[in-house]
Amino acid sequence: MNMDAHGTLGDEALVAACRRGDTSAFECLVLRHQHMLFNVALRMTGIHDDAADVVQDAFVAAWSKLADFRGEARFSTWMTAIVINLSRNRIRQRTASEKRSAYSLNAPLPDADGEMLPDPPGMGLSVLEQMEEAEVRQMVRRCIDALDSGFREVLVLRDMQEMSYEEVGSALNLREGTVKSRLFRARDAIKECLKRALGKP
Amino acid sequence: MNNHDDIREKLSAYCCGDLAPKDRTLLEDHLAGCASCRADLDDLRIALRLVRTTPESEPPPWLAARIMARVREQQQRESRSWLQRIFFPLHVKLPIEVAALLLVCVSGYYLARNVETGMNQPAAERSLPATTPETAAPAGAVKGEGPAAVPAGPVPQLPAARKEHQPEGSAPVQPAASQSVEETAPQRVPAAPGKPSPQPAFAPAPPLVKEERRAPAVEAPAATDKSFEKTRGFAPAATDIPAAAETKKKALRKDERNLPATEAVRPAPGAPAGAAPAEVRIRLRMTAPASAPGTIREALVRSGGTVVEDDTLPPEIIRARLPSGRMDELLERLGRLGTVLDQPRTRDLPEVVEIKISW
Repeated sequence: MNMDAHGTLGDEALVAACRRGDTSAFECLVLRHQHMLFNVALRMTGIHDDAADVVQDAFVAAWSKLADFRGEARFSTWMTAIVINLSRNRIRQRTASEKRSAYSLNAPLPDADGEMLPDPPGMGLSVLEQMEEAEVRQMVRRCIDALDSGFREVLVLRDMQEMSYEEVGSALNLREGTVKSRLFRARDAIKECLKRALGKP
Repeated sequence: MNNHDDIREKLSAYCCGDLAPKDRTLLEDHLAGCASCRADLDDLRIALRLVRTTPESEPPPWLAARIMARVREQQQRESRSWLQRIFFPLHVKLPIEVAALLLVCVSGYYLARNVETGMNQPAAERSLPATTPETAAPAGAVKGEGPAAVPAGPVPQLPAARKEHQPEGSAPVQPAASQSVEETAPQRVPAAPGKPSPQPAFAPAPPLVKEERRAPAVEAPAATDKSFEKTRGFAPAATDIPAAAETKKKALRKDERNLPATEAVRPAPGAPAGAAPAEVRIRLRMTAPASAPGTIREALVRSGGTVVEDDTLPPEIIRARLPSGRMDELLERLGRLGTVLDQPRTRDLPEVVEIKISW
Protein backbone atom coordinates (compact mmCIF):
# COMPACT_ATOMS: atom_id res chain seq x y z
CA MET A 1 0.00 0.00 0.00
CA ASN A 2 1.29 3.46 -0.73
CA MET A 3 0.84 6.63 1.23
CA ASP A 4 -2.01 7.95 -0.92
CA ALA A 5 -4.03 4.82 -0.31
CA HIS A 6 -3.25 5.11 3.38
CA GLY A 7 -4.41 8.70 3.47
CA THR A 8 -8.00 7.66 2.81
CA LEU A 9 -8.02 4.97 5.47
CA GLY A 10 -9.25 5.45 9.00
CA ASP A 11 -6.98 5.07 11.98
CA GLU A 12 -8.35 1.60 12.73
CA ALA A 13 -7.47 0.28 9.26
CA LEU A 14 -4.04 1.83 9.48
CA VAL A 15 -3.47 0.27 12.89
CA ALA A 16 -4.46 -3.09 11.44
CA ALA A 17 -1.94 -2.59 8.62
CA CYS A 18 0.72 -1.66 11.17
CA ARG A 19 0.09 -4.90 13.01
CA ARG A 20 1.01 -6.73 9.81
CA GLY A 21 4.34 -4.90 9.86
CA ASP A 22 3.39 -2.12 7.42
CA THR A 23 5.61 0.75 8.51
CA SER A 24 4.25 3.12 5.85
CA ALA A 25 0.81 2.79 7.45
CA PHE A 26 2.41 3.78 10.70
CA GLU A 27 4.08 6.70 9.01
CA CYS A 28 0.66 7.85 7.92
CA LEU A 29 -0.55 7.73 11.52
CA VAL A 30 2.52 9.68 12.62
CA LEU A 31 1.90 12.41 10.07
CA ARG A 32 -1.75 12.55 11.00
CA HIS A 33 -1.30 12.90 14.74
CA GLN A 34 2.13 14.34 15.38
CA HIS A 35 0.86 17.94 15.39
CA MET A 36 -1.76 17.40 18.06
CA LEU A 37 0.50 15.19 20.16
CA PHE A 38 3.41 17.57 19.88
CA ASN A 39 1.23 20.41 21.18
CA VAL A 40 -0.03 18.32 24.07
CA ALA A 41 3.56 17.43 24.93
CA LEU A 42 4.65 21.06 24.56
CA ARG A 43 1.90 22.37 26.88
CA MET A 44 2.67 19.63 29.34
CA THR A 45 6.45 19.98 29.40
CA GLY A 46 6.65 23.61 28.41
CA ILE A 47 9.91 22.94 26.53
CA HIS A 48 10.18 22.47 22.78
CA ASP A 49 12.97 19.88 22.79
CA ASP A 50 11.37 17.89 25.57
CA ALA A 51 8.12 17.83 23.63
CA ALA A 52 9.85 16.54 20.50
CA ASP A 53 11.58 13.82 22.52
CA VAL A 54 8.35 12.84 24.20
CA VAL A 55 6.49 12.52 20.90
CA GLN A 56 9.30 10.45 19.36
CA ASP A 57 9.43 8.11 22.31
CA ALA A 58 5.63 7.89 22.36
CA PHE A 59 5.38 6.80 18.71
CA VAL A 60 8.24 4.32 19.00
CA ALA A 61 6.66 2.88 22.14
CA ALA A 62 3.30 2.75 20.37
CA TRP A 63 4.80 0.78 17.48
CA SER A 64 6.13 -1.90 19.77
CA LYS A 65 3.05 -1.91 21.99
CA LEU A 66 0.56 -1.94 19.14
CA ALA A 67 -0.61 -5.38 20.25
CA ASP A 68 -1.81 -3.81 23.52
CA PHE A 69 -4.05 -1.37 21.68
CA ARG A 70 -7.42 -3.08 21.57
CA GLY A 71 -9.36 -0.32 19.95
CA GLU A 72 -11.43 0.44 23.06
CA ALA A 73 -10.42 4.08 22.66
CA ARG A 74 -9.53 5.95 19.52
CA PHE A 75 -5.93 5.71 18.38
CA SER A 76 -5.44 9.43 19.05
CA THR A 77 -6.72 9.03 22.60
CA TRP A 78 -4.45 6.06 23.18
CA MET A 79 -1.50 8.02 21.82
CA THR A 80 -2.45 11.01 24.02
CA ALA A 81 -2.35 8.80 27.08
CA ILE A 82 1.16 7.66 26.16
CA VAL A 83 2.30 11.24 25.54
CA ILE A 84 0.84 12.40 28.86
CA ASN A 85 2.59 9.58 30.71
CA LEU A 86 5.93 10.28 29.08
CA SER A 87 5.47 14.00 29.75
CA ARG A 88 4.88 13.30 33.44
CA ASN A 89 8.12 11.29 33.53
CA ARG A 90 9.93 14.10 31.77
CA ILE A 91 8.64 16.69 34.23
CA ARG A 92 9.58 14.47 37.14
CA GLN A 93 13.10 14.13 35.77
CA ARG A 94 13.46 17.84 35.44
CA THR A 95 14.80 19.49 38.51
CA ALA A 96 13.97 23.02 37.48
CA SER A 97 11.01 23.48 39.75
CA GLU A 98 11.88 27.03 40.71
CA LYS A 99 10.18 28.37 37.60
CA ARG A 100 6.94 26.82 38.79
CA SER A 101 7.28 27.91 42.39
CA ALA A 102 7.56 31.52 41.27
CA TYR A 103 4.01 31.25 40.08
CA SER A 104 2.72 29.01 42.80
CA LEU A 105 -1.02 29.11 42.99
CA ASN A 106 -1.31 28.87 46.72
CA ALA A 107 1.56 30.81 48.19
CA PRO A 108 1.38 34.60 48.11
CA LEU A 109 3.90 36.10 45.75
CA PRO A 110 7.11 37.29 47.35
CA ASP A 111 8.22 40.72 46.27
CA ALA A 112 11.72 41.91 45.59
CA ASP A 113 12.42 42.38 49.31
CA GLY A 114 11.18 38.93 50.07
CA GLU A 115 8.11 40.26 51.87
CA MET A 116 4.79 38.74 51.21
CA LEU A 117 2.50 40.90 49.22
CA PRO A 118 -1.09 41.16 50.24
CA ASP A 119 -3.68 39.78 47.91
CA PRO A 120 -3.45 41.52 44.57
CA PRO A 121 -5.63 44.54 44.03
CA GLY A 122 -8.96 43.94 42.43
CA MET A 123 -7.77 44.69 38.95
CA GLY A 124 -9.84 43.13 36.20
CA LEU A 125 -8.22 40.92 33.60
CA SER A 126 -9.65 43.25 30.97
CA VAL A 127 -6.38 45.12 31.41
CA LEU A 128 -4.74 42.20 29.57
CA GLU A 129 -6.61 43.19 26.45
CA GLN A 130 -4.70 46.40 26.24
CA MET A 131 -1.37 44.71 26.82
CA GLU A 132 1.07 43.53 24.24
CA GLU A 133 0.09 40.23 22.70
CA ALA A 134 3.46 38.47 23.21
CA GLU A 135 3.59 39.51 26.84
CA VAL A 136 0.13 38.22 27.52
CA ARG A 137 0.89 34.93 25.78
CA GLN A 138 3.93 34.47 27.92
CA MET A 139 1.93 35.17 31.07
CA VAL A 140 -0.68 32.66 30.07
CA ARG A 141 1.92 30.05 29.25
CA ARG A 142 3.63 30.57 32.58
CA CYS A 143 0.35 30.24 34.38
CA ILE A 144 -0.43 27.01 32.57
CA ASP A 145 3.06 25.75 33.44
CA ALA A 146 2.46 26.70 37.05
CA LEU A 147 -0.52 24.39 37.35
CA ASP A 148 -0.06 21.07 39.05
CA SER A 149 0.21 18.51 36.30
CA GLY A 150 -3.06 16.79 37.30
CA PHE A 151 -4.91 20.02 36.57
CA ARG A 152 -2.78 21.02 33.64
CA GLU A 153 -3.47 17.74 31.88
CA VAL A 154 -7.21 18.30 32.03
CA LEU A 155 -6.98 21.94 30.94
CA VAL A 156 -4.65 21.09 28.03
CA LEU A 157 -6.77 18.25 26.72
CA ARG A 158 -10.15 19.83 27.22
CA ASP A 159 -9.70 23.56 26.69
CA MET A 160 -6.68 23.56 24.41
CA GLN A 161 -7.10 20.34 22.41
CA GLU A 162 -10.86 20.48 22.65
CA MET A 163 -11.32 16.83 23.46
CA SER A 164 -14.63 15.64 24.80
CA TYR A 165 -14.94 14.91 28.52
CA GLU A 166 -15.18 11.26 27.67
CA GLU A 167 -11.93 11.31 25.67
CA VAL A 168 -10.12 13.25 28.38
CA GLY A 169 -11.34 10.75 30.96
CA SER A 170 -10.22 7.90 28.75
CA ALA A 171 -6.77 9.37 28.09
CA LEU A 172 -6.17 10.21 31.72
CA ASN A 173 -7.99 7.20 33.11
CA LEU A 174 -10.30 9.44 35.15
CA ARG A 175 -14.03 9.48 35.72
CA GLU A 176 -15.90 12.24 33.94
CA GLY A 177 -16.87 13.92 37.21
CA THR A 178 -13.25 14.10 38.26
CA VAL A 179 -12.32 15.55 34.91
CA LYS A 180 -14.91 18.30 35.25
CA SER A 181 -14.07 19.21 38.80
CA ARG A 182 -10.36 19.36 37.96
CA LEU A 183 -11.07 21.40 34.87
CA PHE A 184 -13.10 24.03 36.71
CA ARG A 185 -10.47 24.38 39.36
CA ALA A 186 -7.77 24.62 36.73
CA ARG A 187 -9.59 27.42 34.91
CA ASP A 188 -10.10 29.30 38.14
CA ALA A 189 -6.44 28.83 38.98
CA ILE A 190 -5.40 30.29 35.63
CA LYS A 191 -7.59 33.30 36.22
CA GLU A 192 -6.14 33.84 39.68
CA CYS A 193 -2.64 33.35 38.35
CA LEU A 194 -3.15 35.99 35.69
CA LYS A 195 -4.55 38.41 38.25
CA ARG A 196 -1.51 37.88 40.43
CA ALA A 197 0.78 38.37 37.48
CA LEU A 198 -0.93 41.65 36.71
CA GLY A 199 -0.75 42.72 40.32
CA LYS A 200 3.00 42.29 40.28
CA PRO A 201 4.74 45.63 39.90
CA MET B 1 -16.43 31.48 52.22
CA ASN B 2 -17.20 27.87 51.60
CA ASN B 3 -20.25 28.96 49.74
CA HIS B 4 -18.21 31.41 47.74
CA ASP B 5 -15.67 28.73 46.73
CA ASP B 6 -18.54 26.61 45.61
CA ILE B 7 -19.82 29.45 43.49
CA ARG B 8 -16.40 30.09 41.97
CA GLU B 9 -16.21 26.51 40.82
CA LYS B 10 -19.70 26.78 39.42
CA LEU B 11 -18.75 29.96 37.63
CA SER B 12 -15.99 28.08 35.86
CA ALA B 13 -18.50 25.58 34.60
CA TYR B 14 -21.07 28.24 33.86
CA CYS B 15 -18.80 30.29 31.64
CA CYS B 16 -18.42 27.39 29.26
CA GLY B 17 -21.98 26.20 29.37
CA ASP B 18 -21.10 23.15 31.38
CA LEU B 19 -23.47 23.83 34.24
CA ALA B 20 -26.67 21.87 34.74
CA PRO B 21 -29.81 23.99 34.11
CA LYS B 22 -30.88 23.93 37.77
CA ASP B 23 -27.49 25.11 39.01
CA ARG B 24 -27.39 27.67 36.25
CA THR B 25 -30.58 29.44 37.43
CA LEU B 26 -29.32 29.42 41.01
CA LEU B 27 -26.02 30.94 39.91
CA GLU B 28 -27.64 33.56 37.74
CA ASP B 29 -29.77 34.58 40.71
CA HIS B 30 -26.62 34.98 42.77
CA LEU B 31 -24.75 36.87 40.07
CA ALA B 32 -27.56 39.42 39.80
CA GLY B 33 -26.87 40.56 43.34
CA CYS B 34 -23.08 40.03 43.57
CA ALA B 35 -20.78 42.47 41.71
CA SER B 36 -17.59 40.70 42.78
CA CYS B 37 -18.86 37.40 41.39
CA ARG B 38 -19.78 39.16 38.14
CA ALA B 39 -16.23 40.59 37.90
CA ASP B 40 -14.90 37.11 38.61
CA LEU B 41 -16.97 35.71 35.83
CA ASP B 42 -15.61 38.33 33.42
CA ASP B 43 -12.03 37.55 34.40
CA LEU B 44 -12.70 33.88 34.00
CA ARG B 45 -14.06 34.39 30.52
CA ILE B 46 -10.99 36.42 29.55
CA ALA B 47 -8.61 33.88 31.01
CA LEU B 48 -10.37 31.02 29.32
CA ARG B 49 -10.38 32.84 26.02
CA LEU B 50 -6.66 33.41 26.33
CA VAL B 51 -6.05 29.76 27.13
CA ARG B 52 -8.15 28.58 24.23
CA THR B 53 -6.58 30.93 21.75
CA THR B 54 -3.04 29.97 22.66
CA PRO B 55 -1.46 29.47 19.26
CA GLU B 56 -0.46 25.93 18.35
CA SER B 57 3.12 25.14 17.68
CA GLU B 58 4.35 23.25 14.64
CA PRO B 59 6.29 20.12 15.41
CA PRO B 60 9.87 20.19 14.11
CA PRO B 61 9.97 19.16 10.44
CA TRP B 62 12.34 16.28 11.12
CA LEU B 63 10.13 14.74 13.78
CA ALA B 64 8.20 12.28 11.62
CA ALA B 65 11.33 11.17 9.74
CA ARG B 66 13.17 10.57 12.98
CA ILE B 67 10.28 8.61 14.40
CA MET B 68 10.07 6.43 11.31
CA ALA B 69 13.82 5.82 11.28
CA ARG B 70 13.60 4.53 14.83
CA VAL B 71 10.52 2.47 14.09
CA ARG B 72 12.12 0.80 11.06
CA GLU B 73 15.31 0.16 12.96
CA GLN B 74 13.28 -1.46 15.68
CA GLN B 75 11.39 -3.54 13.12
CA GLN B 76 14.67 -4.81 11.65
CA ARG B 77 16.00 -5.60 15.07
CA GLU B 78 12.86 -7.55 15.88
CA SER B 79 12.95 -9.60 12.70
CA ARG B 80 16.65 -10.20 13.21
CA SER B 81 16.14 -11.27 16.78
CA TRP B 82 13.65 -13.86 15.59
CA LEU B 83 16.25 -15.40 13.31
CA GLN B 84 18.95 -14.97 15.88
CA ARG B 85 16.91 -16.76 18.47
CA ILE B 86 17.01 -19.77 16.16
CA PHE B 87 20.39 -19.52 14.48
CA PHE B 88 22.55 -17.42 16.72
CA PRO B 89 23.82 -20.36 18.76
CA LEU B 90 24.71 -22.22 15.57
CA HIS B 91 26.36 -19.27 13.90
CA VAL B 92 28.58 -17.97 16.58
CA LYS B 93 28.54 -19.96 19.74
CA LEU B 94 28.65 -23.40 18.21
CA PRO B 95 31.68 -22.89 15.97
CA ILE B 96 33.71 -21.44 18.81
CA GLU B 97 32.73 -24.11 21.25
CA VAL B 98 33.12 -26.93 18.79
CA ALA B 99 36.46 -25.62 17.63
CA ALA B 100 37.66 -25.44 21.21
CA LEU B 101 36.37 -28.92 21.96
CA LEU B 102 37.95 -30.34 18.83
CA LEU B 103 41.24 -28.70 19.65
CA VAL B 104 41.19 -30.22 23.12
CA CYS B 105 40.21 -33.65 21.82
CA VAL B 106 42.73 -33.72 18.99
CA SER B 107 45.63 -32.41 21.03
CA GLY B 108 44.69 -34.77 23.85
CA TYR B 109 44.60 -37.69 21.46
CA TYR B 110 48.00 -36.93 19.97
CA LEU B 111 49.50 -36.30 23.36
CA ALA B 112 48.22 -39.60 24.68
CA ARG B 113 49.37 -41.43 21.59
CA ASN B 114 52.79 -39.85 21.59
CA VAL B 115 53.31 -40.80 25.21
CA GLU B 116 52.21 -44.33 24.45
CA THR B 117 54.44 -44.76 21.40
CA GLY B 118 57.22 -42.98 23.22
CA MET B 119 57.12 -45.71 25.85
CA ASN B 120 57.02 -48.53 23.32
CA GLN B 121 59.26 -47.14 20.66
CA PRO B 122 62.81 -47.38 21.96
CA ALA B 123 62.49 -51.14 22.43
CA ALA B 124 60.53 -51.61 19.26
CA GLU B 125 62.87 -49.66 17.09
CA ARG B 126 65.92 -51.45 18.42
CA SER B 127 64.50 -54.81 17.48
CA LEU B 128 63.31 -53.75 14.07
CA PRO B 129 65.61 -53.58 11.10
CA ALA B 130 66.01 -50.46 9.04
CA THR B 131 63.41 -51.87 6.72
CA THR B 132 60.71 -51.58 9.34
CA PRO B 133 57.22 -51.05 8.12
CA GLU B 134 57.04 -47.45 7.11
CA THR B 135 54.11 -46.92 9.39
CA ALA B 136 56.49 -47.29 12.29
CA ALA B 137 59.34 -45.34 10.74
CA PRO B 138 57.52 -42.06 10.20
CA ALA B 139 56.04 -42.35 13.65
CA GLY B 140 59.53 -41.63 14.90
CA ALA B 141 60.72 -39.54 12.03
CA VAL B 142 57.70 -37.37 11.33
CA LYS B 143 56.61 -36.86 14.88
CA GLY B 144 60.12 -35.91 15.79
CA GLU B 145 60.08 -37.63 19.12
CA GLY B 146 63.54 -36.28 19.59
CA PRO B 147 66.85 -38.07 19.59
CA ALA B 148 66.56 -38.55 23.33
CA ALA B 149 63.93 -41.23 22.83
CA VAL B 150 66.29 -43.27 20.68
CA PRO B 151 69.76 -44.21 21.88
CA ALA B 152 71.94 -43.36 18.93
CA GLY B 153 75.05 -45.49 19.44
CA PRO B 154 74.15 -49.14 19.51
CA VAL B 155 70.92 -48.78 17.58
CA PRO B 156 71.70 -47.80 14.03
CA GLN B 157 68.33 -48.72 12.59
CA LEU B 158 66.32 -45.70 13.48
CA PRO B 159 68.77 -43.14 12.15
CA ALA B 160 68.83 -45.22 9.00
CA ALA B 161 65.12 -45.03 8.69
CA ARG B 162 65.15 -41.39 9.47
CA LYS B 163 67.74 -40.32 6.99
CA GLU B 164 66.17 -42.43 4.39
CA HIS B 165 63.30 -40.00 4.18
CA GLN B 166 65.48 -37.14 3.16
CA PRO B 167 66.31 -38.37 -0.34
CA GLU B 168 62.66 -39.08 -0.76
CA GLY B 169 61.88 -35.51 0.13
CA SER B 170 61.61 -34.89 -3.61
CA ALA B 171 58.22 -36.54 -3.34
CA PRO B 172 56.38 -34.24 -0.97
CA VAL B 173 53.51 -36.70 -0.70
CA GLN B 174 55.65 -38.92 1.39
CA PRO B 175 55.34 -37.63 4.98
CA ALA B 176 51.74 -36.71 4.55
CA ALA B 177 50.98 -40.06 3.00
CA SER B 178 52.56 -42.07 5.74
CA GLN B 179 50.80 -39.88 8.25
CA SER B 180 47.49 -40.50 6.63
CA VAL B 181 48.15 -44.19 6.76
CA GLU B 182 48.62 -43.78 10.46
CA GLU B 183 45.46 -41.83 10.84
CA THR B 184 43.28 -44.22 8.93
CA ALA B 185 44.43 -47.11 11.08
CA PRO B 186 45.66 -45.57 14.26
CA GLN B 187 45.11 -48.67 16.36
CA ARG B 188 47.52 -50.65 14.27
CA VAL B 189 50.44 -48.40 14.85
CA PRO B 190 51.02 -49.19 18.47
CA ALA B 191 50.39 -52.88 17.73
CA ALA B 192 53.08 -53.31 15.09
CA PRO B 193 56.02 -52.05 17.11
CA GLY B 194 54.49 -53.51 20.24
CA LYS B 195 54.90 -57.07 19.04
CA PRO B 196 58.63 -57.28 18.67
CA SER B 197 59.34 -55.23 21.74
CA PRO B 198 60.11 -58.17 24.06
CA GLN B 199 62.98 -59.26 21.84
CA PRO B 200 66.57 -58.51 22.85
CA ALA B 201 67.45 -54.99 21.98
CA PHE B 202 71.09 -55.22 21.06
CA ALA B 203 71.08 -58.10 18.62
CA PRO B 204 70.14 -56.50 15.33
CA ALA B 205 70.63 -59.48 13.05
CA PRO B 206 68.56 -62.28 14.60
CA PRO B 207 65.46 -60.17 15.21
CA LEU B 208 65.26 -59.48 11.51
CA VAL B 209 65.22 -63.18 10.69
CA LYS B 210 62.68 -63.91 13.36
CA GLU B 211 60.62 -60.97 12.35
CA GLU B 212 60.48 -61.97 8.73
CA ARG B 213 59.74 -65.56 9.56
CA ARG B 214 56.89 -64.62 11.73
CA ALA B 215 55.50 -62.42 9.04
CA PRO B 216 53.31 -64.40 6.67
CA ALA B 217 54.12 -62.16 3.74
CA VAL B 218 57.82 -62.75 4.02
CA GLU B 219 58.00 -64.14 0.50
CA ALA B 220 56.59 -60.98 -0.88
CA PRO B 221 59.77 -58.91 -0.71
CA ALA B 222 61.81 -61.63 -2.32
CA ALA B 223 59.28 -62.20 -5.05
CA THR B 224 59.01 -58.54 -5.85
CA ASP B 225 62.74 -58.24 -5.76
CA LYS B 226 63.12 -61.03 -8.26
CA SER B 227 60.52 -59.82 -10.64
CA PHE B 228 61.99 -56.39 -10.29
CA GLU B 229 65.39 -57.73 -11.21
CA LYS B 230 63.97 -59.52 -14.20
CA THR B 231 62.20 -56.54 -15.59
CA ARG B 232 64.92 -54.08 -14.82
CA GLY B 233 67.86 -56.26 -15.62
CA PHE B 234 71.01 -54.43 -14.50
CA ALA B 235 69.53 -51.06 -14.16
CA PRO B 236 71.01 -49.09 -11.26
CA ALA B 237 68.62 -50.21 -8.59
CA ALA B 238 69.29 -47.67 -5.90
CA THR B 239 67.97 -44.76 -7.91
CA ASP B 240 64.97 -46.51 -9.32
CA ILE B 241 63.72 -48.07 -6.20
CA PRO B 242 62.30 -44.99 -4.52
CA ALA B 243 59.92 -44.57 -7.41
CA ALA B 244 58.89 -48.20 -7.22
CA ALA B 245 58.43 -47.89 -3.50
CA GLU B 246 56.34 -44.84 -4.03
CA THR B 247 53.88 -46.57 -6.31
CA LYS B 248 53.89 -49.54 -4.03
CA LYS B 249 52.99 -47.40 -1.06
CA LYS B 250 50.17 -45.82 -2.94
CA ALA B 251 48.86 -49.25 -3.80
CA LEU B 252 49.20 -50.27 -0.21
CA ARG B 253 47.27 -47.33 1.02
CA LYS B 254 44.56 -48.09 -1.42
CA ASP B 255 44.45 -51.66 -0.24
CA GLU B 256 44.37 -50.75 3.40
CA ARG B 257 41.47 -48.46 2.92
CA ASN B 258 39.42 -51.19 1.32
CA LEU B 259 40.43 -54.04 3.55
CA PRO B 260 39.06 -54.76 6.97
CA ALA B 261 41.43 -53.96 9.79
CA THR B 262 42.75 -57.49 10.37
CA GLU B 263 43.62 -57.98 6.75
CA ALA B 264 44.91 -54.50 6.36
CA VAL B 265 47.72 -55.31 8.76
CA ARG B 266 49.12 -57.84 6.37
CA PRO B 267 50.71 -55.52 3.83
CA ALA B 268 52.69 -53.90 6.59
CA PRO B 269 55.26 -56.72 6.94
CA GLY B 270 55.64 -56.66 3.19
CA ALA B 271 56.68 -53.08 3.48
CA PRO B 272 60.40 -53.83 3.89
CA ALA B 273 60.42 -54.26 0.16
CA GLY B 274 58.83 -50.85 -0.07
CA ALA B 275 61.51 -49.45 2.22
CA ALA B 276 64.17 -51.08 0.04
CA PRO B 277 66.06 -47.86 -0.77
CA ALA B 278 67.96 -48.49 2.42
CA GLU B 279 69.50 -51.39 0.63
CA VAL B 280 72.52 -51.07 -1.60
CA ARG B 281 72.74 -53.76 -4.20
CA ILE B 282 76.00 -54.89 -5.55
CA ARG B 283 76.23 -57.26 -8.47
CA LEU B 284 79.41 -59.14 -9.04
CA ARG B 285 80.80 -61.27 -11.79
CA MET B 286 83.10 -63.49 -9.83
CA THR B 287 86.38 -64.68 -11.24
CA ALA B 288 86.06 -67.72 -8.99
CA PRO B 289 82.35 -68.34 -8.46
CA ALA B 290 82.92 -71.57 -6.56
CA SER B 291 84.57 -69.87 -3.63
CA ALA B 292 82.37 -66.82 -3.87
CA PRO B 293 80.40 -67.05 -0.61
CA GLY B 294 83.49 -67.44 1.47
CA THR B 295 85.55 -64.73 -0.17
CA ILE B 296 82.73 -62.27 -0.22
CA ARG B 297 82.00 -62.85 3.44
CA GLU B 298 85.62 -62.32 4.23
CA ALA B 299 85.66 -59.07 2.29
CA LEU B 300 82.58 -57.94 4.13
CA VAL B 301 83.92 -58.72 7.57
CA ARG B 302 87.22 -57.07 6.80
CA SER B 303 85.43 -53.94 5.68
CA GLY B 304 83.69 -53.80 9.05
CA GLY B 305 80.41 -55.32 7.88
CA THR B 306 78.17 -57.89 9.48
CA VAL B 307 76.70 -60.70 7.43
CA VAL B 308 72.99 -61.07 8.03
CA GLU B 309 72.09 -64.72 7.97
CA ASP B 310 68.94 -65.31 6.03
CA ASP B 311 67.90 -68.86 5.15
CA THR B 312 65.19 -67.69 2.84
CA LEU B 313 67.63 -66.07 0.48
CA PRO B 314 69.05 -68.06 -2.42
CA PRO B 315 72.68 -69.15 -1.88
CA GLU B 316 74.06 -66.67 -4.43
CA ILE B 317 72.84 -63.69 -2.41
CA ILE B 318 74.40 -62.40 0.76
CA ARG B 319 72.86 -59.77 2.90
CA ALA B 320 74.98 -57.65 5.16
CA ARG B 321 75.21 -54.43 7.10
CA LEU B 322 78.03 -52.03 6.71
CA PRO B 323 78.96 -48.60 8.00
CA SER B 324 78.51 -46.42 4.95
CA GLY B 325 81.89 -44.82 5.52
CA ARG B 326 83.55 -48.11 4.58
CA MET B 327 81.60 -48.65 1.40
CA ASP B 328 84.47 -47.72 -0.85
CA GLU B 329 86.72 -50.10 1.04
CA LEU B 330 84.27 -52.94 0.48
CA LEU B 331 83.91 -52.16 -3.20
CA GLU B 332 87.66 -52.18 -3.59
CA ARG B 333 87.89 -55.60 -1.96
CA LEU B 334 85.05 -56.97 -4.05
CA GLY B 335 86.74 -55.56 -7.16
CA ARG B 336 89.63 -57.84 -6.47
CA LEU B 337 87.32 -60.86 -6.34
CA GLY B 338 85.60 -60.13 -9.63
CA THR B 339 83.91 -57.34 -11.55
CA VAL B 340 81.45 -55.05 -9.84
CA LEU B 341 78.73 -54.81 -12.46
CA ASP B 342 76.87 -51.81 -11.14
CA GLN B 343 78.57 -49.23 -9.07
CA PRO B 344 76.22 -48.47 -6.18
CA ARG B 345 76.13 -44.92 -5.00
CA THR B 346 78.40 -44.34 -2.10
CA ARG B 347 77.28 -40.86 -1.17
CA ASP B 348 74.23 -39.66 0.72
CA LEU B 349 73.93 -42.99 2.41
CA PRO B 350 72.67 -43.52 5.93
CA GLU B 351 75.18 -44.21 8.62
CA VAL B 352 74.70 -47.93 8.30
CA VAL B 353 73.60 -49.49 5.02
CA GLU B 354 71.97 -52.75 4.19
CA ILE B 355 73.83 -54.46 1.41
CA LYS B 356 72.70 -57.24 -0.82
CA ILE B 357 75.44 -58.80 -2.79
CA SER B 358 74.55 -61.12 -5.62
CA TRP B 359 76.77 -62.92 -8.11
